Amino acid sequence: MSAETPVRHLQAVAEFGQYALWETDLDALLHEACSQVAKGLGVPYAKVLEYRPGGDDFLIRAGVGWGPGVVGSVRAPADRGHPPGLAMQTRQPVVTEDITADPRFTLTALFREYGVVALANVPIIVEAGVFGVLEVVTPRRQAFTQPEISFMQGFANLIAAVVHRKGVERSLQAALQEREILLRELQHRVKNNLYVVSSLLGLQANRIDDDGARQALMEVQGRVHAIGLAHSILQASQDISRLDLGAYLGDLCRTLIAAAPFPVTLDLDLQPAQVSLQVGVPLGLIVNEIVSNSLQHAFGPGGGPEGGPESGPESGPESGMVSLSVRRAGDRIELMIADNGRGMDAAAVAARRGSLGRKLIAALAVQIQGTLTRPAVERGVCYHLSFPVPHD
Amino acid sequence: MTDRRPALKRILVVEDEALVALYTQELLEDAGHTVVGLAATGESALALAARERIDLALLDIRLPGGMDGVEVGAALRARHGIPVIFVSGTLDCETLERVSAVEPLACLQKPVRPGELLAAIGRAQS
Repeated sequence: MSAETPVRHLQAVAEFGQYALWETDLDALLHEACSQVAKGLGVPYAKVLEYRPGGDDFLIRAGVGWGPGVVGSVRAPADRGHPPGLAMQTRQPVVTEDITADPRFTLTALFREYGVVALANVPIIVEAGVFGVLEVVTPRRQAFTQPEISFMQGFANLIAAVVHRKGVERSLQAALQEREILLRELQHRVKNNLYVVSSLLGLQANRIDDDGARQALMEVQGRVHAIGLAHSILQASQDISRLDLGAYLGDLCRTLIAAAPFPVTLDLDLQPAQVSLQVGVPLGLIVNEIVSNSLQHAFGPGGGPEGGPESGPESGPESGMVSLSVRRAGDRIELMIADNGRGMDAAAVAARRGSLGRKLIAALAVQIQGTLTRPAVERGVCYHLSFPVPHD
Repeated sequence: MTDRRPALKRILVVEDEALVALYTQELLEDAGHTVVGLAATGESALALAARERIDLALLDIRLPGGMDGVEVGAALRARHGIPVIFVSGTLDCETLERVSAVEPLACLQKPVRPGELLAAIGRAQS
């Protein structure tokens, strides 16, 4: 060994340390370690043996120089009668110049096949115990020096650090998955509980004779439904913290239209827009108020798009229609909700000025920092709501 | 003017939330249907179906016990020829495939509005 060798070894360990920082594939990392160690020590064979507590043996997890069918398949005994077993159990390097003449050890079939004479083993020690052993072998007598063993141990320690990091990553991943499952379960419970509340409101409404009081409870039930639907959509989202606004509001309108006592066409123009529940629920409540209002007042008997005195809207070009569009415009989201019903005259606007629905719409628009306007339209009612894309 | 009212049905409600089941029962009965029974599990639903004449089953999918709503629906169809409507939360692809295999008359997303449920039953009959 030349005087420059230790310097070259230190350089190789440093380079491998850098490589170990970003390599995420443990098998690739182990192979690289074997390759560097074999090269650094000038031996034809190196391998990493991973200890398997279940079988109380080692599996050759990675290696260089070996023929097909060795790495990933061949096992080695973990007892003290074999160098890797002794290195693991003593947690110390094990070196032999000539294993065929060393009374401590028994030759394995693999060593006989490859004519192994000299070898060196260093344990790969991790927090939980011993991961395995890094081993170099050669078919000629060789006395491995202390600097060479230290060189090997440097690699083994870096491997141990990566194995430890992998274990921590696995634990974190498992904890994240568990958190996700718990969150989804919680979502399911919230949705179910809102459905129970909605049912309770319905049961109570069924027992009220006063039409106004019953109607008020039904309106609250509709609002609870709108909130419950947001949770339902969120439960199916890839990202549990965000829901697709178009999918939510589209479904909300569909359920409102489906529950209407007469046919109304729904015209949806929905661009994808992901929002949190904090933004989605107020928007759902706003749309619920506006569309419920349309269904209640724009198309009722005596109304309809063309104002027939006796009938509600019929199918065909003059049938009742509710339109909803969700569009991204730069850093804002624009909502347009409209109907082609009888519209609101000044008297109707004045009458609804103090209504809860109107107050809710205004307050919720402010909550999401939105700007709500009612553009003039030829027929029916139109609301336009613009709000900043939330960055929460 | 044609009579658009749906024919009245004998309906089995399979739902493990008691208040949701109770409200569904009242909705259906107010609309003139007969609720044959409320079952909170798949096993009790199948027991009811074995002794009652049932025209239609409304099924929640997530149920306590050994069977989920899709299995119950499949058994109701196979053993008694009872058509089903699923009422459920948003479904994953695998459950959706199983639901499709049962060929339900409708699949409604929870929470369901009262009018939406009655309209689905009406559509299922037309």
